[in-house]
Amino acid sequence: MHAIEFRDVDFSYGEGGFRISKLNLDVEEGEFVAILGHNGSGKSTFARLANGILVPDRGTIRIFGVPLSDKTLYEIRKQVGVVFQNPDNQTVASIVEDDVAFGAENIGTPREEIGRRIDFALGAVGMQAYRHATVQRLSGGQKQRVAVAGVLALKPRVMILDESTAMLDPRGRKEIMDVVLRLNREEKMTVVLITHFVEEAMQADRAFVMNRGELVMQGTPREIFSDGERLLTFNLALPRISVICQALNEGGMSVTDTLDFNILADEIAKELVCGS
Amino acid sequence: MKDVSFGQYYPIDSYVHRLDPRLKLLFLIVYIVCIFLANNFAALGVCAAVLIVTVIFSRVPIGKVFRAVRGVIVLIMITAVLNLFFYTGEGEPLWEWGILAIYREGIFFSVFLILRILLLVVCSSLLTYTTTPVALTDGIESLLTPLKWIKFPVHELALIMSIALRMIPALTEETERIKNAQKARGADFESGNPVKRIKAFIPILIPLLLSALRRADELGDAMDSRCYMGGKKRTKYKKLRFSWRDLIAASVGAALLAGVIVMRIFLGGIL
Repeated sequence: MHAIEFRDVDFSYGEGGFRISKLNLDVEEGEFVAILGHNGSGKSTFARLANGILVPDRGTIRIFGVPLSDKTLYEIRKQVGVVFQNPDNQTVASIVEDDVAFGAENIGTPREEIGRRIDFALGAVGMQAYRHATVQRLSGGQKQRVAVAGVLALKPRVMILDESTAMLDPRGRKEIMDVVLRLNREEKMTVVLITHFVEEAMQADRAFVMNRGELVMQGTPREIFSDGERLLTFNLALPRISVICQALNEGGMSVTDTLDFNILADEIAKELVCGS
Repeated sequence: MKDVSFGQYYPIDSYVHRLDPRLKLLFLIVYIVCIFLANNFAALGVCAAVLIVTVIFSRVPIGKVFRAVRGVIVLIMITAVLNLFFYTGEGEPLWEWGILAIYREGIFFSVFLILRILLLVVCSSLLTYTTTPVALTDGIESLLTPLKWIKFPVHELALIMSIALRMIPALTEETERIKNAQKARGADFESGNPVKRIKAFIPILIPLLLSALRRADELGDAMDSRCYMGGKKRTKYKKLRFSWRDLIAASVGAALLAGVIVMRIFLGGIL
């Protein structure tokens, strides 16, 4: 059973507007998947389709085998949490714990259970110390971690991050990536990371590339980054390490394409020793 | 970052801070009724005494309390002066010039009015000093609950209020940013006549409005995806609870009301 399953999904924002056509995409349970794409590639539309904020014109979307429809909408939203781009536009309450409680309150969770969920969610993102803080006074990365906690309070099985790191500084970006990786590894959470930073996709199990509403590439991050020229035609740059590998190979060395700096360092060392 | 706390909440812990917001709201209403029922100095004095004790228990610095008064000082002066000169009492005026005349009753009446306004301002600002905006909206929601019987959207109203409060700092920052961006493009907000200055704010208002709409749209999506389905079936994490503190404050309120009514009946008018 797939965690997320898109079958021949068509969607358009009105006549002549942006459209997604014949999208087929599966995400397995427990997987960490990255969806890459430039502006207007349809990657954010994917997030909004996956938990029923947008409704497809044709095709079916299944979450853990349950087709998305009006009847199953709220059940599916409990399963699929979305963290959006702007940390300021997704917090409802002024105090951290009130905001984390919001989702759990919505689905009628009993009070004591909400308290436990707040403990769990803030613990998972490392923000316990800020439970009674004002959201407005937090840094961008902290606000976004609160947003992640707000989604976790619903106990979802899938978390979609829709460009959630795009507005953060490098430190905030790392904070979120650490939290997400930990959730995936330790809590077995299925994670879909939507981004245009190719660097962030390197740690994913699989990556998809979208362009103009179509799925154009899929595979492991290594497979995708080995075709740098194709990636460039979709307005995506290669990660730095891939650029270094290519430059070394063109310069006469023979290193294998890798996304791990440690492996690359070893290879270079080996080359240098053997070369001399 | 700017800290725009609506209604200037003063964040300390005190007896008054801990009171149930619903009780504080009701107490404020009862207190205002008392101020208007009090028609002699003795009754008003009792009201003032209760308020002074409350201020002491709230541990809000006296300077803060006076700052609230400063905002309405002009209003107080105008009301006092008008009443002083135009109040027509019995007997001979103490001073007369044209249509202006000062009577003994006029002086008493002006002082009485000043006191009334002062008490009104201090008691209502004490509420915002000692109650967080969130507690206040919770309290209002809870007090308005009976209106659900006539299909009044109480929950929605409270949610709108709390989101508005939550968005005030974000929009203030945004305004500042847009203002700076327009200044960088040569906009001038400081010189020219008032009409020109008001016109200069249009390039701030339009981007601000657009961005507020975009924010609202995104917030709507975020709320949707966190399973927001309106007030039905919804539980609340924070429950308002009545405690012994509230009972004491409620008895004080009741006693004050009774006392003021008795004094009104038995002591009569101002003098």
